[in-house]
Amino acid sequence: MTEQELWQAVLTDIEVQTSRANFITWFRNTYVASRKNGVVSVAVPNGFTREWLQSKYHKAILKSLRNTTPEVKEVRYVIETKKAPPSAVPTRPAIAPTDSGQLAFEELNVNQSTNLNPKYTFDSFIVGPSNELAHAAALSVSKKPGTVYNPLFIYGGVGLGKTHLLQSIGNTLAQTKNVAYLSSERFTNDFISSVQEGSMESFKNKYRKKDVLIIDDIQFIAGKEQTQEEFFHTFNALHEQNKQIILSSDRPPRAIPTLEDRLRSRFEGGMLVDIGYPDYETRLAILQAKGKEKEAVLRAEVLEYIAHNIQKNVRELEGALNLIVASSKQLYDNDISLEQAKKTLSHLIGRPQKPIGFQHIIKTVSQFYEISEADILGKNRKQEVVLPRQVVMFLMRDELRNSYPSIGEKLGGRDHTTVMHACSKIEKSLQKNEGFEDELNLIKQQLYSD
Amino acid sequence: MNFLIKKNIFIRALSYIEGITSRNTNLPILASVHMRAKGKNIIISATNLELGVIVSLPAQVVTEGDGVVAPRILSSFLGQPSDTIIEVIKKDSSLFLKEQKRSATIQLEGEEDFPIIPSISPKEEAVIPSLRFIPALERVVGSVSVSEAKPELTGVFLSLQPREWVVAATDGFRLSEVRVGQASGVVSPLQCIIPLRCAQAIIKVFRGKELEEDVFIGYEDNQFIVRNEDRSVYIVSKVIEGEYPGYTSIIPTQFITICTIPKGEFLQNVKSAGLFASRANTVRIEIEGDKAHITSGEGDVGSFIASMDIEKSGENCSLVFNHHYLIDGLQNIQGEKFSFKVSKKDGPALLSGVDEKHYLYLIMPIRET
Repeated sequence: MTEQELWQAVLTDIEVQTSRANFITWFRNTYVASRKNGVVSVAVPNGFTREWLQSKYHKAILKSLRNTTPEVKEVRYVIETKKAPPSAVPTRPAIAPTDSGQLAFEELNVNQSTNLNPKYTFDSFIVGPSNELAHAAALSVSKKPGTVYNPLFIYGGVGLGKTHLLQSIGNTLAQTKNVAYLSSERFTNDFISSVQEGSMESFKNKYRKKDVLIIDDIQFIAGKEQTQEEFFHTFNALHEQNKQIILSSDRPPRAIPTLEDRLRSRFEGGMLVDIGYPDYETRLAILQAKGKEKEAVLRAEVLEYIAHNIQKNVRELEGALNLIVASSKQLYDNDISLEQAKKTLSHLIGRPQKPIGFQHIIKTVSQFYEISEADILGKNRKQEVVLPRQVVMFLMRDELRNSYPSIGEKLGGRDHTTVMHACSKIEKSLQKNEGFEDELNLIKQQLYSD
Repeated sequence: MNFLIKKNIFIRALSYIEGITSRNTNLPILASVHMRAKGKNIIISATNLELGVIVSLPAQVVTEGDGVVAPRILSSFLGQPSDTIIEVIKKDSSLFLKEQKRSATIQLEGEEDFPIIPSISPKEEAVIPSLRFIPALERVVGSVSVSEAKPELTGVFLSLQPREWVVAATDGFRLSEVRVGQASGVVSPLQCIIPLRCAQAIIKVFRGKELEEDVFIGYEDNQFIVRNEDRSVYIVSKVIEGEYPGYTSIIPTQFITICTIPKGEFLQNVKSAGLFASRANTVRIEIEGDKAHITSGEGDVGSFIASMDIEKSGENCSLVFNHHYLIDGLQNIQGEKFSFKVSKKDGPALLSGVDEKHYLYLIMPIRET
């Protein structure tokens, strides 16, 4: 007999013995909290109920329990309130007394106990080829936490939506589970203060009792030995009980220096997905969705212009959109034209990307692979030279948008088909081989950093 | 049960106990109060099953006993406070009351059905003088949210630390906080959310007593307990489940405009402006140079303008507020002048006293279309 059935039997007995009013008042929200060694603990919602049941109904309850379960020796009453679900994600932040435009404190909307921002949901996440895998994995985890992909490790560059996905999972699960979302910096600070204050027990209890632990920017615990150690134990404790762990980072575990091997292997043992740079269609879709959110009506050509020219990350996209919306409202009577938009964004888009020429590419790549520039231009077909040469070709195509023939010409009079072959080979390698993608990113970083 | 009691004392106690009773169709006895004559006291209790209040009054007890009676009729009979002595005698199932040349008989209800108010002695209690605690509660209780959309905001936030205690309340549009740095005998920190009705009961009961005394505050098993030293006042209430939002992060520290304004005159102007406000309750505060202009008049009643001299540093600004919210905050500030600081457009304004630093009031403006 389950605890629920047991209590139902008691309730049925009591109901006939007492007035309906009394029954409803005193027995509502009561249930059996536990049953162990002949002691039944009855959960009651408050002190008044406890007093009343103890003094007026104890005998009747005990008798009824013994009818079905003779081994019950003792009945205790404990005050337990079912934790109210965290305020259901509201569509409007708070109820204004009239529709008067009264503003509300913005930050109070962040659900404090879980730290989640209700605006990040799966519905507001635009899916495209660059992030569909990460999105699918996140959705799976939100439907079956702890079972399919554990841990889930999402990595990718700045402003591409990792936090959005992480918080979407959090917001979905927070309605039924105990969720914690925090940055690894906060975890570290919390850990340090707990050590200093001597409250390690409560620190451990806090994090190891969660159903879902989401940590953003985990790369920041690199180099922090003690924090990593504590995180290792927390990770294990949660994983053993099939509690879901979700992490994000700006790079794959392998590329996080001074990350302990045992943590690295645990991260890699789960599901590793990356979010790449959004393609044009995705960028346009994002702009359209955000435009709608801001209730701004913008000409299609304006949105297309922004999508074409801001390619690297979604935050920049949003920044440009905000600028356009604001100028449109203030200066152009809510109908900004393409020319005006170009002017407004000129300082954002024409931002002096350090002008690089093909010589710079050759120089950087040859330095990276530790070969001479002459080798790149020369005829040597050894693999150690061929690969860097192909990388140069790829970069000239990708970054400088040179035509195949002109690349071939600049690199020692080679045929354009050679260049095409090089570019497609590099692209294939990029898709198949993650380590290579990191390599290329590092090279690009160096290209633009001097 | 048979006792004699001074009418003053009896009426006063009934006035604050009456507010605790409730109409509950399932348990009608909750609309009544329980009286017990014992030793040298009359102990009166009332509860609505979330909040329970017990007060002990000095009386001359002839015979001990219990009685449960509806307080409304009782206090209506008693009428105006005076020094006369009331005699109360229980006869069978009715209560006989005698005052000099007047008397009445009131039906009693069955005592067996009256709920038992849990008597809890928490292991640890904090001690704060009522002179400090009650005014603090009074200053914040008006900002408690009345909407159930966010249950955590429907109570007063209380935080007790070894060197500081704080009470605060917000409904999302304005926030009140009293912060007092004072050792309070707190060994382990306590944080909880006190339901609005409980806070109101605490204020009423302690205000009703003439003397100041120490307030003992404890927490056990999800129940919040407040009492005075000799337990002649005892209040127990459930707390509100959930975590109070960490509001300190929304209190701005940088401002574009900082003003010092004569409080009385400003308050008067806002009240007058409020008379002319439209249904949206809007009043405009314009800070220009060293003057403040208070205007209203989008409604049909008419319009109002007032100008006053102020001290200002920073930019000029113009903001629209709900005048009720403004008045609520201003009335809680002590001193002749108050400080008015604006953090940013469409951002909160901070109101506080000039000399007294314990209280702050944060208010969000109304968006201008």
